[in-house]
Amino acid sequence: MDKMPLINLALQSFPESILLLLFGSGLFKRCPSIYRLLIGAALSSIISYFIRRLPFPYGVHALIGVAVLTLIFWLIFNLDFNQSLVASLATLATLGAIEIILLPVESHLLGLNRFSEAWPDPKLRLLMAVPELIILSLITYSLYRANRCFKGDL
Amino acid sequence: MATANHSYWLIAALLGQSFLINIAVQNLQLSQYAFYKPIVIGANLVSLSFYLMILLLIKKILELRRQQQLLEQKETELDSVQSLLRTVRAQRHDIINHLDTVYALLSLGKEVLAREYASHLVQIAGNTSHLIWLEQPVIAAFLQNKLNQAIAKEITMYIDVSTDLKDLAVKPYALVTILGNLLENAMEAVETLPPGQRQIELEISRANLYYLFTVSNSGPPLDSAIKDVIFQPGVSTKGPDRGLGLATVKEVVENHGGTIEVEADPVTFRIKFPATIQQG
Repeated sequence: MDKMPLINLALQSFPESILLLLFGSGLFKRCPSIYRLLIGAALSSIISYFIRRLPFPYGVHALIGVAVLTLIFWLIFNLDFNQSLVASLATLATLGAIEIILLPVESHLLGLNRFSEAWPDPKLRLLMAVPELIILSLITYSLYRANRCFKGDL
Repeated sequence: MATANHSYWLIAALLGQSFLINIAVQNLQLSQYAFYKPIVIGANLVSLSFYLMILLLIKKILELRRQQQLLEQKETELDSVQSLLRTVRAQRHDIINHLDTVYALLSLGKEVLAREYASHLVQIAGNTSHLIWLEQPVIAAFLQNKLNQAIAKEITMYIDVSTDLKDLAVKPYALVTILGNLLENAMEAVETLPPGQRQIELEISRANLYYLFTVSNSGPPLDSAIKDVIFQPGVSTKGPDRGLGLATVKEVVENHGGTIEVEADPVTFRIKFPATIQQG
């Protein structure tokens, strides 16, 4: 069980949700309005905050995250259901790939045996999230700028 | 549509697998085996390579899907071309009968009738031969169909095509919406006239930087009050519950970077689209 501190909800989970939603909608050449984006990100991060407090093993929250993101893409961003599912899986798989690269390196540099050892310390947790958010921002930016990837051909 | 859904499900399945492997690897990093660095590094590499492989697979799937769409579009165009060719063949097949008729009329001293008959033939054959040169076979087939409708309604429709539309960026379905509405309106406008006076002209031409589509008809001129608001939804000379066609035309034209103008007498719609020079 992971109790995410409120500071991490505001400074880590919320921006991460914004980036994930921008990334997912960017895959289908959609530019969501700022209101939809903020509502979606707020919902995603708040739900994530509460789910992490439940006594599920690590990974279950990510699976529920797929369902939540799919619903947000579908109901708030007005993508069709299939697109929403692909968008949520693509965003979370990409986030996972970034984490797989960064977390072991960060853990090693910080002298941690497991990345979960950083969870009780909000500052450390936030620090470890910064490179991930930067990389995700760059990928999302390049996606919107070059309009690459799927190009709405699905 | 079904194929698009299959693509979605296939891509979702691939991404889902990558996602699950990712969760498994992250769980490994939290487990008691996290201390065995080679195992963790190996699992990370497997997960990453799997993710990258899936991205490549998705790229391939999308390329195939794009090619399939292109193929379907070409098949539709081929059908249109074949339809047009069938019309031309039928006309060639009939030409001897028409020549016989003209010869018989001349032999009987009915020169006026012969001239009218020949003029009608020239119009039909001329229109069809113009259409063949269009690079957009869907448009050619659509116009051929409109010509047939005009003939059935005893309307003389002149189509003058002096360009091939090769550099026109407007999609065929959008052009069909535009020309379909304008020609339909023109047919309705001239239907009340005696058959000899029912005339519609469509001119498709190109200046250097734009394409010009002009549709005019011999129907009653437009009232100046109507002319000013003719593109507004619900405005129509044809009674209530009408008037969506021209509003749609204006919207489609403007969505494709074009402009539309109307003249009252004779009723003429003039549409300009910018020409997009094809690369390579």
